[in-house]
Amino acid sequence: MKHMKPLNQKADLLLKAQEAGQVDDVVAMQAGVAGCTATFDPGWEVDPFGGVAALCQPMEADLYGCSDPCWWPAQVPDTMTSHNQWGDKAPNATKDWRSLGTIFPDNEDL
Amino acid sequence: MSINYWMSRLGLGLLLLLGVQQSVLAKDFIVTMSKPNNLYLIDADTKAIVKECKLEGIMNPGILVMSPDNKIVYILSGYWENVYGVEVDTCNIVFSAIQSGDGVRAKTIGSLAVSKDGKELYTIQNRTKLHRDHFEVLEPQLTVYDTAAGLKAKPLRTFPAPRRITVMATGENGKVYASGHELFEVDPQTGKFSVKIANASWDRPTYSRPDVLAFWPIGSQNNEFMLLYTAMEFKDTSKKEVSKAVWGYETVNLKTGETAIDDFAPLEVIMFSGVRSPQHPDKLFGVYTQLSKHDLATDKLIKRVELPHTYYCINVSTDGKFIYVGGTADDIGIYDAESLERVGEIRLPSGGDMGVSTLHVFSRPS
Repeated sequence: MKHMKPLNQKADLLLKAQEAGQVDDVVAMQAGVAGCTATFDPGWEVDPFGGVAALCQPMEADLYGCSDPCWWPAQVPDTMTSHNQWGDKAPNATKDWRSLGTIFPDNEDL
Repeated sequence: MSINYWMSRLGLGLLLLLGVQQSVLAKDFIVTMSKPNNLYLIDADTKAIVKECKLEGIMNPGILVMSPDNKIVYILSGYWENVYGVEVDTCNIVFSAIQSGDGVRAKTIGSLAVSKDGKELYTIQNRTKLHRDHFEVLEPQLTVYDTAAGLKAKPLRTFPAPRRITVMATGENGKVYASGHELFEVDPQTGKFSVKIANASWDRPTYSRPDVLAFWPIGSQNNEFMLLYTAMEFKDTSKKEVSKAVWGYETVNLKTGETAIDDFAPLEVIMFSGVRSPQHPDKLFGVYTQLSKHDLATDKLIKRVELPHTYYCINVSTDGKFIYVGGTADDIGIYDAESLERVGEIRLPSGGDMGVSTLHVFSRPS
């Protein structure tokens, strides 16, 4: 891990937990249902050949095809059940992606 | 020449004339949906939007099946929970089924089909009981609706169903065909599920289980329920060393009930959906970021072209001369089935994404 730098809060927590020997305490999605769990397919990250060339082109065009059926486990909010209106301001993902919001767990979810 | 002779010639002439008129008047139409809530009936020849229905709150996911007379489109909506029947020429909502209720949430993952006589609609409900402090996963069920039941239709019959069912189709024999970890034949009168084409249990000792992305209820042009699969072929039954990865197809002839399953190509590109025309059932077209044309008789790739962007859903014109690619974004691409040259496109006025919505093509008098 010494050659890797955390790029987000979760990764930073994981690094600190590792230093404290508490990796088992860092559990993804523990604070609330933020994403879909229908599949553990890695989504945008890699294609079936282990690269990126066979991902949907452009990748924004794949947004609703994957988020509507809860294809991704965590990269987008769960629009199938918990956050139905997440994409309502962005009917065209390629053009409107800047209008997509971010979902944070409400206090009552914590 | 007797009078009977001339009467028979006159009758034959009239029949020919009527037949010609029918073929002249029949045109291809495309039906699809785009976000936020737009249903389109499109003249495939002129590329003109014949009818646009703005159906408030009715889209996601927008998976569609058509009534046998192609007048009513049944839309899976309400975040995979509700089904609406909409007259494509008038935008009138003539049917609805609200599947969740009484503390049970029911999701249908693309599993809807209409009987060949148009009288019954079938869905698979994946049900969850919503308790105050926990969820309870219930057994999925095949649900049968009367399409004449109007709005807020209640189930006619329900039967236990296997998990993991996605798209379905109906045969002229009255059976329902459902894609799951096997391809099932279902008797909608008794609820009996039987394996029509083995997938998870297929007898291929040197193969992995097939991976089937069954999401687009197309195939009506060739009256078949055809799905593509990928699988790994190993060098021997120990399955330690991969020999090759393959594409294959499996199909149920919806007129005769006959089945076929076969590999046809190496796994070189992704294809999300495939289609065949009745004129050339030995040619299979598949789409994703490329459009591919395969010869099923020789297992040769005839041609492959790059597309401007990814398209999920493919279909074919009634005469087999044009391939339509849609879903995903906001345009439908039209390709010459012989050369795979892009010969046209249709921009959907709403500008919204089609996502996983279905691209139906059918012929009927204009």
